Order: sequence, then structure tokens, then C-alpha cells
Amino acid sequence: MLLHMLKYDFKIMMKNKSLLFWLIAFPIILGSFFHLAFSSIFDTEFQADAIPVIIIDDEGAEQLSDIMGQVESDGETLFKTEMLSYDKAMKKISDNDAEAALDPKSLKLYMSPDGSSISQTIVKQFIDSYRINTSIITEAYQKDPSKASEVTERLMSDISLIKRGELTEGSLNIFDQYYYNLVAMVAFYGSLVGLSTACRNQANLSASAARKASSPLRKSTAAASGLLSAFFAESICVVSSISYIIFVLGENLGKELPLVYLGGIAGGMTGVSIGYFIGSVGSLPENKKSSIITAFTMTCCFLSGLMDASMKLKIEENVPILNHINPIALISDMFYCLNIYSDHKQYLINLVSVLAVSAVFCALTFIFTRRKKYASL
Amino acid sequence: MSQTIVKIDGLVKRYKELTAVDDLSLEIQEGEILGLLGPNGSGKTTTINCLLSLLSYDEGNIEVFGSKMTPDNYKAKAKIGVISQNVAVFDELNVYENIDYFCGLYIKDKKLRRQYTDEAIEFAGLNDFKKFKPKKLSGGLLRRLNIACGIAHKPSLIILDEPTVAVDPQSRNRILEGIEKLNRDGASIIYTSHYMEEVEQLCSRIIIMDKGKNIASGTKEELKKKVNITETIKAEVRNADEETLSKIKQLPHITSSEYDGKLLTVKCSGGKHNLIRLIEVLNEHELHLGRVYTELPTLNDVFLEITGKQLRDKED
Repeated sequence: MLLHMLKYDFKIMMKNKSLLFWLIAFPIILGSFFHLAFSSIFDTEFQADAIPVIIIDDEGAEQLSDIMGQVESDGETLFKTEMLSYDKAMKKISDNDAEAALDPKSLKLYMSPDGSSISQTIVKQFIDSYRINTSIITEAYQKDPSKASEVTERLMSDISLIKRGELTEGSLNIFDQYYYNLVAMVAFYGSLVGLSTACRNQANLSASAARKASSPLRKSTAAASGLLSAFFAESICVVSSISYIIFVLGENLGKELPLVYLGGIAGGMTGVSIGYFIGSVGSLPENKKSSIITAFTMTCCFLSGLMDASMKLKIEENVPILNHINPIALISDMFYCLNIYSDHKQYLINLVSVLAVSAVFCALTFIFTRRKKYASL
Repeated sequence: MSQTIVKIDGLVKRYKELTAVDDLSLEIQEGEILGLLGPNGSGKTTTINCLLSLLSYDEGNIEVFGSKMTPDNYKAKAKIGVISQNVAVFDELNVYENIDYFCGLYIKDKKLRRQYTDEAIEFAGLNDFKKFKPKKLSGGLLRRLNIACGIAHKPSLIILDEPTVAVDPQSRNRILEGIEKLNRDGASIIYTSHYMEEVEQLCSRIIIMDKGKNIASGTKEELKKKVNITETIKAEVRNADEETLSKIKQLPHITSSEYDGKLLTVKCSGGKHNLIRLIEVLNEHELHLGRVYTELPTLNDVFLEITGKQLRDKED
């Protein structure tokens, strides 16, 4: 019976156009959009002239100026820096004599109202990258003090945005974070697969589930078949998305591809089990549960930096607990750790955590749905 | 001697303040077609869902095939086929796959399942639509697919919950004929509907429900004996005046009369030659008659007699 159920559950999922859109088409569209957007930012014609940036004369100004002076694009210096007092900097900005001014202490960015949007985007991306790289050093100290000096050395050896220099054994480019989050989002969209599976098993969510519940099919068999086929379908979607990013868009998600795929699949399992749990408890109809899951996923994506790569860092600075409970941040962090650290310790910790979350939600669902009768249908 | 296959005793189901099923007791004997007749909201579907152990209930006891019905009474569930009011199929699967899927929940043997699936397709007249997805089927065909999915495994007890809602007359007749055939083949049937004609045509015993209660039960003949009306005469008459109508009301055995300007409806209670006497009065007043016909009491009359309201909503 399990094989019979598995065959059809998988078939139903792979023919669900709405699910396929969110799990395959949407990430491909978004990934392609990222690819086009990021590759056009650094158009070589545009970079003929260095971008004028003022650094406010304060603590750390010289150091920042030195670093910005070393950033190159195709052998040309990317930024032309000048140190001025705050008042003079603001005047130059308002007179449109400089694209942006930077406060070296707070890393606050002041933009010229009539400046070039592409120039200002580059300055902003540089600052975001600078913040993250600075944070990597701090994080490295906290996680493994013995490796921190090595990371610092590599980080400071080349901070070029354009060359996407390999700061560690992997890539520390700020744009990679967008792709990590994209894969994490696809993985967490597994919750929609989980919800769809729950709807086929919970008599209060669909007529076909009520028919199944009236049959001699055991709840455990239905749940096992539903979850296994959902895991399998979700894995196909995650693998497709990762493969598209790596092999079609040519983006770099790290050298250890099997572990990247494994991380994505584990994230997908977490998404499926959370979605299955949400679908199996409570009496809200499927469309409302689906809206809740979509809104939750997009919020988690936003907080983990899908729309703004610096968001994760801002959260780390202000509400660090959010990064530790945000499932998408946890999943994307797996890829991040895989790229940053030369050993797999942190990656494995994250992998086990994500799988444990999945196991907990699966177990909770089995407990909640066992011998279940509904108060209303 | 026939065996009791379903026994519901003192069933009570409440939704907060609303009592959906109120102290309902019933029994179903092997081989019979039991009709649960009642208006929308009378508790028919809730009773079925409690019987299937899908819904929790507040009081009472339900036994199916001699054992208490619980969510894990798989032995009893294996002998039941359910055709729900809402079409319960998967849009992603075609006709054959849907039937095979649900049949597979009961039948493990692949060869036997294939045979049963083919027979169910034949039974529902879906041979030409095997590869069709449910969305491509008409309303009537979709209902037939819904039925095929519920009966493919050849259950001993078939529960049909309003299976003909929103179905064209041709498909409805086909469905009703199919149900009669299933019964002839040995299945016991519970048939819920608010269409009295269907229940009258199909069911060997009927329970009339209202507000969650069993308000009357018996064969259709037994139920009709409970009403005071023996026949209803309807005559197409134009320009009947007050004097004529008054004379009609004074005729013996006439319990009520209504006239809407075109159709005269007269209800009689017992007596003979009521129609002849009515025509005599109309002729005396030189009124020209159109069609004249009589109707025997219906289950709607029974319902009206007991509850004071029509069985079927006007929009039905």
C-alpha cells in the first residue's frame, strides 16, 4: 500500500502547477534577475572614471580611505576618496560634487540627491561588503579563535568587489549571499509542499482527504507516504535550482558541490516538515494556511537578506536571536559556513540542527494526527 | 434473517450552541436502502461524518458491522464505500488514476485492483473518458467519477451523501439506476438527499430528519399514512369567483383549497368521487376547465404535516 500511495502522491505533487511555479519557475526567474542585475552593475564602460567618495574626517577615516583606494576594477582604481570635515562633506554632497560621503565610525552613508544611481549602488555594495567582512573577523574570533588570524589575513589581502577575490578558500562576495538566500528560500518553500501534503491527508482540509480518512488506510502510512514523496519532490526542486544557479548562471556557490546539494536538500526537508505540521494542526482552510506560510517565508527571506544583503548583519547587530531562529537564515548560513570555514564543523552543526528541526516537526505531526477525529469538517 | 450492519444509538453532536444532531437513533439492515431525507442543515451529513468516525460527537454510540466505530476500526472501514456531497477526486490525476488510487486504499492485489478499476469505469460509463482530467469532465460525469471512486472496491455498505446535487436529469437517472444495481448486487445503502422524488424511488425505508432529529421513519407507504391528505386535485381554471371557491370549500372531505388565478389546488382527506364533485361545481358556474389531474400525497406533504414547512428550499 505504501508504494501505491508513494507513486500517486509523488505524481500529484509533480503535476501541481502552482507548486512547481513557486519551487522551480520562481527561483529561476529571481536567480536570473539577480544575475542580470549584478552583472550589469559593474559595466566596464561605466567604470572608466573613479567614483568620487568623501570620507568624513573621524576615527578610522585613514584606514577606510586606504582600503577603498585599493579597490580595483580591471586594473583601474574604483573609488577616488577625499577626507573632509562633516560640514564640508555635507556641502559637497548637497552641491552634487561627490556621489557619497561615508562616516568611517558608524559606516553611515550619505548620498548625493542628484548622483548616479549605479555609482551610489556600488558605494553601498562596497560598504555592505566591508561591514560583512569586518563581521566575519569578529565572528571567526568567537567561533574559532585559532583560525581567526588566518581569515583576517585573507580578508585584508584583497577586498575587490569586481574580481570577487577569494578571500578564504571559498568566496566572500556579498552577491553570493543573495544566491544562498535564494536556495534557502527554495528549500523553505518546501513548506508549501508540506502543506499540500497535509491537505491530502487531513479530512478537515479537503474532500479527498475525508475520503481517505474513511478508508482503512492507516494515518501513519498516509503520513509516511506523503512526507517521503514531499521530501523527494522538494529535493528535485532544490537540486534543480542549485544546478541552475551553478551551471546555467555560472555563479559560485562553493567548491564542495555535494555538500551544497546536501544542505539544500536538508533545508527542503525542514521546509516540508514545518509546512506539514502547519497544515495538520488548527482548523484554518488551506488558502489561509498557504497565505500564512508564504508571508512567513517572505518575511524570513527579507530578514535573512534576500532583498538587502546587509539586513542579516543589521539583525545580528540589533536582534541577534532572530538570526538563530529564522529557518532561512539557518539554511543560508549553512552555505555561508561551507564557504568561509576550511573545516566542516560549523556546517555540520547547522546541518544537524536543520535535520533535528525537521524530525521534531514530523514527530509532532504524527502525535497530533494519530487517531484524530475532527470537531467540524 | 437480515443482519443489523449499522446501529446508531442516541447520537448527539453539538457545534457550540447549535445542536446539529439531537438524540438520533437508527438501524440499517443488511440489503436495505435507507434514505435520510431532510432539508439542508437538518443534520444528515453530520450524522454520516459521525458514522464514519471523521467527526467527534458529544453523546451516543455507533456500531458498524457489529463493532464500535472508531478512527482505527480498519476492519469496518474496509467494508464501507463513501460518496461524499463534495466531489472528492484529485485534479492532477486522470479518471483511471483517480479510481485506481482510491481502490488501492482497500485492495492490495494489483491484478484484482486493475480488474475492479475497469469494472468501476464500466459501471459509471466512463470508458470514453479514462484519460480525462476531472476539470475536463462535465458536472454529471464528475459526479459519476466521484461515485466510481467510492464503489470500486465493492463495499458491503455504501454511503451516498447527496450524490446528485447539481446534476442534469439524464446523469441523475443514470446515477439512480446505478445505485439500484449496486443494491441488487448485495450492497446495503445509506442515501441522504433533500430530493424526495429520489428517496421515494430508491429507498426501502426512510428517515425524515429536521433540526437534527428523526421526526418520522418507516416505508414510504407507512409515512404517507401519517398525513391527513389522501389526494390533491389540481385544475386549470380561469375567472373563478369567490362564490365558486366558497362552494368548493364546503364540499365534503375538502381540507383546503387555493387559487392563484390560473390553477386551483384542492386537498382532500378521504372520501370518494371528490374529483367528480369538484368538476360539477365548476360546470355549474360555467367555468371552462383546462388540464385536471390528481396527485397522491408526497413525502413533502408528510414533512409539511409534521413541521409546518416545505421540505425543499424554494431555490432547489
